[in-house]
Amino acid sequence: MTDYDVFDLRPLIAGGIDPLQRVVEHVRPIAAGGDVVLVAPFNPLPLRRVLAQLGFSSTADRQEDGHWRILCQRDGEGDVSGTPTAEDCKGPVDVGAPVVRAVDGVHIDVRAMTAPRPMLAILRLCATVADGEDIIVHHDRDPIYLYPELAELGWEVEPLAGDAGEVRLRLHREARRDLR
Amino acid sequence: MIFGDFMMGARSRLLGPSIPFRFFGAAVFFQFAAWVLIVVYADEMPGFQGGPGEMLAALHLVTLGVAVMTAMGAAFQILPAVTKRPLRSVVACKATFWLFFPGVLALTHGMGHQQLWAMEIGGGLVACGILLFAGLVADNLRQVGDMKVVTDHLWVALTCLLLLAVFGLSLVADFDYGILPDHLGVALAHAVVAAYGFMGMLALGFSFILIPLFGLSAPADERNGRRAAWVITGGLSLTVVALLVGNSPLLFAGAALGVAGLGLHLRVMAKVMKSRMREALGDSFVLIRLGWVLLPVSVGFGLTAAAGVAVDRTGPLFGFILVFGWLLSFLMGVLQRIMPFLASMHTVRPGAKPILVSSLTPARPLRVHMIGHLGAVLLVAVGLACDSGLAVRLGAFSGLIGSLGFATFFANMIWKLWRHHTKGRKC
Repeated sequence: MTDYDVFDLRPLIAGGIDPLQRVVEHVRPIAAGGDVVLVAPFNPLPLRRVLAQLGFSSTADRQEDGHWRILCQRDGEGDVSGTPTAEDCKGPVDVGAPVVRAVDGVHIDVRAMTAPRPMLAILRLCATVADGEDIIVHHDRDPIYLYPELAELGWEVEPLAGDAGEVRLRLHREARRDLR
Repeated sequence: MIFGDFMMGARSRLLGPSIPFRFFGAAVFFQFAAWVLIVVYADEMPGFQGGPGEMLAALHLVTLGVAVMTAMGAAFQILPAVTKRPLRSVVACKATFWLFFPGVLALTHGMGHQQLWAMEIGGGLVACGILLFAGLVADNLRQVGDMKVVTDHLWVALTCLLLLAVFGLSLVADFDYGILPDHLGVALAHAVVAAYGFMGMLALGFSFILIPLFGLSAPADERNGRRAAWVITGGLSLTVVALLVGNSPLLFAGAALGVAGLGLHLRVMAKVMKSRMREALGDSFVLIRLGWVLLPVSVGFGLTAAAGVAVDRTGPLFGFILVFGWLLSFLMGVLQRIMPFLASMHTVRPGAKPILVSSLTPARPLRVHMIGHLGAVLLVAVGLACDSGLAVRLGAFSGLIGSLGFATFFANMIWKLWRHHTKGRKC
């Protein structure tokens, strides 16, 4: 039986830590043909798409206890297979950016994305999360064009302490309004 | 909404609201002034073939007063946020306005009253304002590595701006000293460089930022957008050379190339619109779409006039569709979207709710403006086609009412912005 390098994301996610950066750092040294197994409380489809861009094909399997095992292999193909339905994901629908659900809210990482993709991804996420659920945005710049749109949609914004070079925001819905 | 110091990084690149809004306010004023002139001197518009007079003044009130003013205000506000680099000098931005605004007043006064001294002083001030603007924008664009599709358009626009200033000043000097061998050829080259080259490329370039922003759409196809820019530039170059040397086949080749580039640009924009998240786009996009439709139509009228077909009608129609149909429609559509958005952005501050964009966009005055503008474009075009001063006057009156609707919308927005800032200071 193959001994896989297993990276359990559940403690990070439970602790409110966005696992994306950690996963990218973890997989970066893996040579061509190498593999890693990620364990997560849901199928992290956006994260798998990021890994696909780094040359990893991944297959997701839901385990009997409800968590997901994602086998990622650096074959240069970047296939994302075993993709479940949105319901199986137990996370928000695909918004075009890595999204993970944690205890403090739904985290979205739009760093290194070119405008206007971050704004679109965040607004799509705003439209899909449940009432009462906060969104934590990880950005690399002040999204000044986003604020009027968020205010229009009834979202409040609160700055949080972030990593160096990061702008981290908590979005909280105060009222539900449609895009105009 | 709580915005802490983290906004300050962006704020340091963002000019205070008084700078862009002084340009936008001037554009609103000049739109009104242009329609007043046409209402009063409507009988002079059918058959107008150029030369000093009220119609030339009205044309320049729109091209310089509305289009270039809007372009300056929008560029000073949006460019630093897009390029992530502040403009070199806020004082220079203000100086641009204080050179350009009186310059447009003096130039159009001189054109209207055929006073050469006013045209020369106004032209000089306008040229200085434009050169200062060009310098600030070029300095900001100089070290930008990304957003190639936008910067390509802006570089072409800036090059056209320099040509425009040279042609414009030569034309003014020619009235006095007779230095040009072919005044009409240079005047036409000046019109093409101004409307399609400078203002056109600026409008098309900023569309790659503004249209996805307004529609909340996927980013535009950069490769085809850049191809479109260079094909249009090729077409423009051929057309200008053809007009200067009086070569008809070259003129038609240039126009064909230009239209092909426009087609490519509009295809890219159609794709952007298709991918949008925002369903209801409002009246502003009726005007933006009208501008898109009338842009290639203006080329058609230009070619028909160049071919010598009913020049006394197709010539004025070319100028009117180009300036009032394409440029004014498109810019007014953009302005009514961008102004409330920027105003709302300027009200974001710690501990206070920003003014909502929707509360700054009252439907009624904007509906009055849209209907007035559409009526004006239709009636004036009919008046020019049928050689009817009455239809032109009715159309101009419709445009005048529309411009008052737009002025009401602008005044309401400034009032709310001022009240919000006053309240914020008291708190």
